[in-house]
Amino acid sequence: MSPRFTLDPFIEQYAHRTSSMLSSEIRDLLAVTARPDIISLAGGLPFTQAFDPEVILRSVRRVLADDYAAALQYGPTDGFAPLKHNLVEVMREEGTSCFPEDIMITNGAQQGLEMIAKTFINPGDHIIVEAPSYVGALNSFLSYQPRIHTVPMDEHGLLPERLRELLRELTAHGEQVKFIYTIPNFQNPAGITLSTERRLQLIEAARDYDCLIVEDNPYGLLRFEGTACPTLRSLAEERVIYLGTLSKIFSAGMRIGWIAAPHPILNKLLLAKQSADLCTSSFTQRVAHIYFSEEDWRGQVQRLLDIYRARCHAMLGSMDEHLSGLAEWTRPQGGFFLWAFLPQFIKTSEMLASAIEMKVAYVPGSGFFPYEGGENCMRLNYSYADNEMAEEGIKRLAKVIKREVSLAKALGLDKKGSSLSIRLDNG
Amino acid sequence: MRIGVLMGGRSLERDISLRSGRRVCNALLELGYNVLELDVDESLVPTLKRERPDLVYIALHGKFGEDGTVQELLEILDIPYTGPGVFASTMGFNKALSKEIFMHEGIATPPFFVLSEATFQEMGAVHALPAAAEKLGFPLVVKPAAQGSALGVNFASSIEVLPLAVQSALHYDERVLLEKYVSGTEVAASILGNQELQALPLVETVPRSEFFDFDARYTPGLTEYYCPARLDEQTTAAAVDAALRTHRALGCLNVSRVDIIIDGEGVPQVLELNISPGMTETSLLPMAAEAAGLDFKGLVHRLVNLALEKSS
Repeated sequence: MSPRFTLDPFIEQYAHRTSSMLSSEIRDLLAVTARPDIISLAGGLPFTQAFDPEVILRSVRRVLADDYAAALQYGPTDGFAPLKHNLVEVMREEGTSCFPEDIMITNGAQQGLEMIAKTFINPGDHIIVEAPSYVGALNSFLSYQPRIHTVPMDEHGLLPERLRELLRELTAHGEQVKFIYTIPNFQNPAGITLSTERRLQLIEAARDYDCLIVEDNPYGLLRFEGTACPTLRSLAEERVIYLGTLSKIFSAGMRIGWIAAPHPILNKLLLAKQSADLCTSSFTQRVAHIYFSEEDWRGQVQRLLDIYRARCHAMLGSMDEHLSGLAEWTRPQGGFFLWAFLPQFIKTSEMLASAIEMKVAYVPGSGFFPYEGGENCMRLNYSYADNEMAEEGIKRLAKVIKREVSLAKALGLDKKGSSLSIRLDNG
Repeated sequence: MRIGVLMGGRSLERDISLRSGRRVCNALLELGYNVLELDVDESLVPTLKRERPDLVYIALHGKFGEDGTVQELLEILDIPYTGPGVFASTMGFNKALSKEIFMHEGIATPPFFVLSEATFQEMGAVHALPAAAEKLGFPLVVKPAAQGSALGVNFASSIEVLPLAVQSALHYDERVLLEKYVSGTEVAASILGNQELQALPLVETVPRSEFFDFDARYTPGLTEYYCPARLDEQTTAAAVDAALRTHRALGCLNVSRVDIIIDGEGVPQVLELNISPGMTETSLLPMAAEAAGLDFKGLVHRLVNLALEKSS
C-alpha cells in the first residue's frame, strides 16, 4: 500500500462549525486586488489619511505621560470606564440616550457580533437578517449553525410586511426567532437606510413576536445628506442590542466597539467576552478616551463627511455617465457603499476575473447572502478611492459589463429574465 | 553565486507563487547561495540589468510566468534560468496547442475542440455547441485554453449548462477548450533532467468531491494523495512512458509535471504539461521528490544544477 498524503492531516478532527469556513474562489481573486495597478472598488476602508498624525500623537503622549503603567496593564472586561462616558456622548450625538453602565466595550463591533452569536445561537435556531447583509455578521452567525432567514429590502429598507409574513409562518410551525439583525443606517452592502416609519414597524413586529433586535450602527454618524432617523435603541431600549464602533469616525486600527443592551443580556455577553479575550486593549481605550475628551472629534467627523460626500458624488456622477442602461444602483446618503444591479443573466462572481484583467475590482453580490441571492449584484466602495480613480474605475467597469452582456447574448444566456432587477432580493 | 528568485507577479496565482518562492529562497539560503528576491513588476528588467544575477530561479505561476514571457526576457538579457525554455513554456501553457502536439506525436489525449470568443461574438458559434458536444459526448470538461490553475474550469453534463461553462472559461482566456471528460485514476508525473531524464514516482490524486475543482485544489484536506500511485507495474510504466514522451515532445528542459488520467482501458491519457510546478508545502513535485528520497533542499539544488548545465 502506498503512503497516503492528506494536505491537512487534521481534517477529521475539526468541529462541524468549521465546515462553513471554506476558502473561496472569490476571496482568492480578491486577494489579487491589492496590486497597485488595480483600481479596487472592493474595499471597505475608512480614509484614515484624513487624520492629522500630530493630533493622534498628542493623545498617545498624554496616555504614556499620565497613565503608562495602567495602559500597559490588563483592564476590566467591560471596558475602561472613562471611555464609556465618551461613548455615551457619541451616542447622544445621534439622539440615543444611554448610561455608561449599559455599555460593554468590545474589540471592534465585530467582536460584539461574535459574542452575540455565541450567546444566543444554538444549532438550528432561527434568526432573521436583511438581504443582502454584512458578510462579517453572516460569517459570525453561520459558524454557530443557525437557520438564517432573509427579508428583502427596497430603497426604504427591509420590507415590514415580508418580515411579518416570515415571523407568522415560523410561529405557525412552532418556531421562535432569536433575533432580527439589521444595519439601519447606510447599510453594508446596500447603502440603504431604514425609514423612520419602517423602524417603528420593525419594532412593532419584534414586540408582537417577542424577538430581540440587533442594531448594528457603524455608519450612523457618517450621514452626509438628508435627515437622521432615530436609532432603534432610542425607540425600544428594552429589546434592542445596540452595536457601536469608533472604527469609522476615529480609527479601525484601535479596535474599539461597544455593545449597549438590557442588563441581563449585558451580563451574559460579559461572560462570553471574558473567555474570549479578557479585555479590550487598555492602551487604545485610553488613547481613544483622551482623543474624544480633548480633541475636536466632531470637527474631524465633519471633515470626513466632506470627503465622503465628494467621493460619493464623484462616483455617482461617473456611474450616471458610464453605466446608465447597463446597471441600476442605490444612491446612499451616508456610509461607504452602494449596491449595483446588473441584468439578471450576469453573474458578477464569474465576471470578476474579467474585471481584474481590466484592472478594476468590486465585491460580487452573492457573498452578502447567507445561502443564495445577489448573483447579478455588486458592492462598490467610494470611501477610499479619490475622484479620479473612481471615474477611471467606473469607466473600466463599464467596459467589462458591456463585454459581459455581449458575450452572454452571443451564448444565448440572456433569454431568461433579461430585465434589470429593481428589488434587492432578486438574485 | 547569486540567484534571483522571481515570484509573485500579477497573475491570478500570485499568492501561490509567493508561497513557492519563499520556500525556494529559504532552501537556496540554506544551500549557501546569495539570494535576491524579486517580486515581478515594472522594475523587473532594470533590476535584472543592474543586479546581474548568475541565475534566475522562476517561481512564478500562471500568465507571464509560465507562458514563455519571462523566459523570452531572460533570453534577451542572457541570464540563465530554471525550467524549460521559451518554446516549451509557450506550448505548455496553451493547453490547446499542446494537445495538438500530443496528437501529432501519437500521445493519447482526450478528444477536444477549441473555440475562440470571437467565434461566439461574431460567427454565432453557440449554434455549433450541440454538434461539438455530440461529437465529444457528455460530460465535458470546459476550460480556458491558457490558464495555469483550476480557475475557470467547469464540468458540463448537459447542453443546457454548456453555454454557462463556456462563458465562465472565457473570463480567463479568449479561447475555450471543450474536452471529453475521461474518468479514471488521476496521476501527476514529475520529470527531471536535460539529456538524461528521471521520472519521479507518480502522485495519485483522489479528490473527495466529485471533481477536482478550485475548492478541492486549494482547500487542504479536500484532496488525498498517494505516492507512489496505486497502479500495477505495467500501467505505471505506460504512464511514465507517456510523461517522458510528452516532456520530450514539447522540448522541455530541467523539469516538468505531466497530468495524466488512466482511462478504463488502462491507457494513460495526457491532459496537460506544467512547466513551473508548484513548490509549496502542499505541491505535487516536492511530494514526488520526497518519495524518491530527494528532500526539498535537494530538489531545489538539483533544479539549480540542471539550469546551469542547460546554459553551459
